Amino acid sequence: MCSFVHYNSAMALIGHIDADCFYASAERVRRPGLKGVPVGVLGNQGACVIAKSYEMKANGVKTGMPIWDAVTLCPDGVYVKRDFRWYEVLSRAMLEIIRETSPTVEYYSIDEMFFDATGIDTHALQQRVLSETGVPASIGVSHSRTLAKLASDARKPFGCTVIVDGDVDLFVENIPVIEVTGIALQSSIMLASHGIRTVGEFRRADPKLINRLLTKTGESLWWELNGKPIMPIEVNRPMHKRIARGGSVGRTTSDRERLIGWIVRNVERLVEAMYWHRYVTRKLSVRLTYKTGGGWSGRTALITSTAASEILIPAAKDLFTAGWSGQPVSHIHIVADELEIKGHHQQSLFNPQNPELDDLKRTVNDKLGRFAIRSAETLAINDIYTDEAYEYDICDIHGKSCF
Amino acid sequence: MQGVSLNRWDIPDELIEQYRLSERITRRDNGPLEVQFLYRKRPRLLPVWYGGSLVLMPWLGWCPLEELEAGVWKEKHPKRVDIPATYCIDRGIWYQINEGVQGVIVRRQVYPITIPSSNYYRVMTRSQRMPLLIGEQF
Repeated sequence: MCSFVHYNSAMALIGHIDADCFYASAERVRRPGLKGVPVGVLGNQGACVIAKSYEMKANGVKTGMPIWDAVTLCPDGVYVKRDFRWYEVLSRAMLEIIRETSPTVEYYSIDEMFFDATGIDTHALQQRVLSETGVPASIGVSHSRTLAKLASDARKPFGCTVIVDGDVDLFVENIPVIEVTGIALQSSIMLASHGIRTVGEFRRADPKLINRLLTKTGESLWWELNGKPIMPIEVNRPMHKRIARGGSVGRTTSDRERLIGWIVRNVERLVEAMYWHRYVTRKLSVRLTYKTGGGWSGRTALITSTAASEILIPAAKDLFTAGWSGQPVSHIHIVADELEIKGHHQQSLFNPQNPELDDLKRTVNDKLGRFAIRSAETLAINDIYTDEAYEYDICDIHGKSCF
Repeated sequence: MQGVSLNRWDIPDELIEQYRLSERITRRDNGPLEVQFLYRKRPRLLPVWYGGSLVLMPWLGWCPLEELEAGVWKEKHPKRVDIPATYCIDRGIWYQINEGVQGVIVRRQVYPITIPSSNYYRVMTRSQRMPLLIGEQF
């Protein structure tokens, strides 16, 4: 239930809505029989629990845990295949509700949004999200993004926490700094060496010290935690520094044809993403992770700024051929950086013929379905294309600002 | 596949009484009541849609799809049926399915149809064979 519904504050307020165990909740929306059941959502080809319900969490199952460890801890748990396309449908529905409620909304991630909460009845918003999408969500409201996120985390599930004015001091005093988004383990260790372990201690520290330890980003958090909002709600996603597509190759393999198939598949996904964001790239990287640990990465400059698969696929294959040691590979990532907006980029004097293949693929695939037309080099991983779990990945969801 | 589970509300009371299924009724945490049909639980039974109604039949074993298609089972006059299920279990892993499992009946005994495991299923359960599901792939 909402802890504070009625409040008055002279300052503008920022809200943070965070869906409770989102993937598991999304599965329950279409399979109501899963309500109350310990649910684990599987990723990484069925090997790991990527999300779990509170019931499964209560049994000690953690995100990222191998399924064989999870089933030992929670033998009655029910496991489901991930379905990011369905999760995006619900996520967009949540986003629409919040946009109808607030004039300023940031689509931070698939299950989290920031919004201008000034004058908004957050309890009513929470109830509306639940009734219209079926997804329970927790809401936090405070003077800055960072405080609002701490507030939404404070009373999960289905909490609604408003922390304003004089309540802030008491609320944050004993929260460990590592619970603040933006302070990772190494940063928390560094802070601890200076006697800063809690948010209260962090707020009382000299901002110059925080800047020295955690750079400008850390100092931004200092101001935010002291109630001065300096990280705005980003209505439009800022331009990426890089875009990557890739991940696990399922069954670890040293089969060259399969690995080339994965490289081409990931380049085709990258081309889709670049088209969506209207980017072209000047540099392409291939990163391999080996089964035995370690890996290899290579980067190449392209002959022109491009988003064309006719240029990117051969470049990625050349990199792979030059750098792969022959070891079994577990993960492949293709990364485009030095991005520019298409049409605003430096034109090359030696532009190759205008590539048309991607336009043709897009036209057909828009009508017949994703990957209906794809490179023949992906035939070596046909089993992946017949498995629906691979059709759509979380990074294929556009518009988030978290990554 | 070593068993299936059906929501209790999917099974008529008469079947519960007739086959003494009450001892197979269970609940996971705060979830709905389920009736579990496990191969290790005797008598071995599976729910089957047959003649337009839900019945229970003895579960004798498994029918590999390759054998069915090669005609190995032809002389037994197998009849394709649907085995409704909410969840299946394989090597201790319970997983959600949409409708159920395909099977055959031979002399009013039921055999779930199996196929070689997909990579996903093999990773998830470590099993080399998987059930042929109704209207979905795993």
